[in-house]
Amino acid sequence: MVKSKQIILVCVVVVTAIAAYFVFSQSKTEKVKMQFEFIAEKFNKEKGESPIIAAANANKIKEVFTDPFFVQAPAYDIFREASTDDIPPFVLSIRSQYSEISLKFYDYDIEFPAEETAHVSVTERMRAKLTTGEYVEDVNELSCRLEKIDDNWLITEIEIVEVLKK
Amino acid sequence: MEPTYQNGQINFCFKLRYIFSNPKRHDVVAIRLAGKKIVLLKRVIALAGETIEIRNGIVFVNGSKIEEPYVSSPSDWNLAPRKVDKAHVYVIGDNRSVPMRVHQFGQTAINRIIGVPLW
Repeated sequence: MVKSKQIILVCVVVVTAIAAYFVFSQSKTEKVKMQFEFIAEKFNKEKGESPIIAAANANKIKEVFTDPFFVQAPAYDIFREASTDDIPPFVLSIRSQYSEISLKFYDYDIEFPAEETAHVSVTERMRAKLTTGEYVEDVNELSCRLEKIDDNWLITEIEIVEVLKK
Repeated sequence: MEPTYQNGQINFCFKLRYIFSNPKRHDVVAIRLAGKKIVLLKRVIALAGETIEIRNGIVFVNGSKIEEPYVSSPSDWNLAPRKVDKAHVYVIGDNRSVPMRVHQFGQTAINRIIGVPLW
């Protein structure tokens, strides 16, 4: 009788530990994903957006990056450290070319090589309408490293993966 | 890959094709462009260690012109010679009627090739 009680107790502890692990790791994953959803939300643009909203959105995006962070875009020969202060003007210059933008991140592959480090591979798809009226679409695979700083997951490295190198 | 395959055409990918072998020249391969869902179909033109060059739309591999019966529209593309890296292949689409700058081609790692179209 005592033995069966012990077995039940051990089973309860194991199940609780497994459940806690899944809940904990899932919440970490969700927090990392939320940073990308935040970027998409602020990068998206609706027709007739006011310049004040545009500036505020561009400024908000820098909140999810460390200062400095490292950016790699081999297709454009970019391998450099950047400041978060570079982000708002860059975002504004990109957004100014389009009257509407829909940016989405999906197909996440998130790993935690260390307790406070995340490596994310994610697909980025941007559909946009140029100010001239034409529609454009761009798809890239991004490889990012994030670190947990003051309970926030911040992007420390971002790479636009070059699949075809001319 | 027009005219061999149309944009948006539904196809199936045979993922076991390159388990025991590597892609060969002229094979049409499915390349993972992003994540698990975005795939490009391209034709293998040059293999690792080979040198590829394009002169007035004609492709040369290691200095020899290669026959490309699948290309229906001539192009005026020019590409300086370049060597394909180890564990990579050089791929180009069949549709050469578009300007070179907008055509997605180049060398890609063999490990990004997920298979071949089934038909």
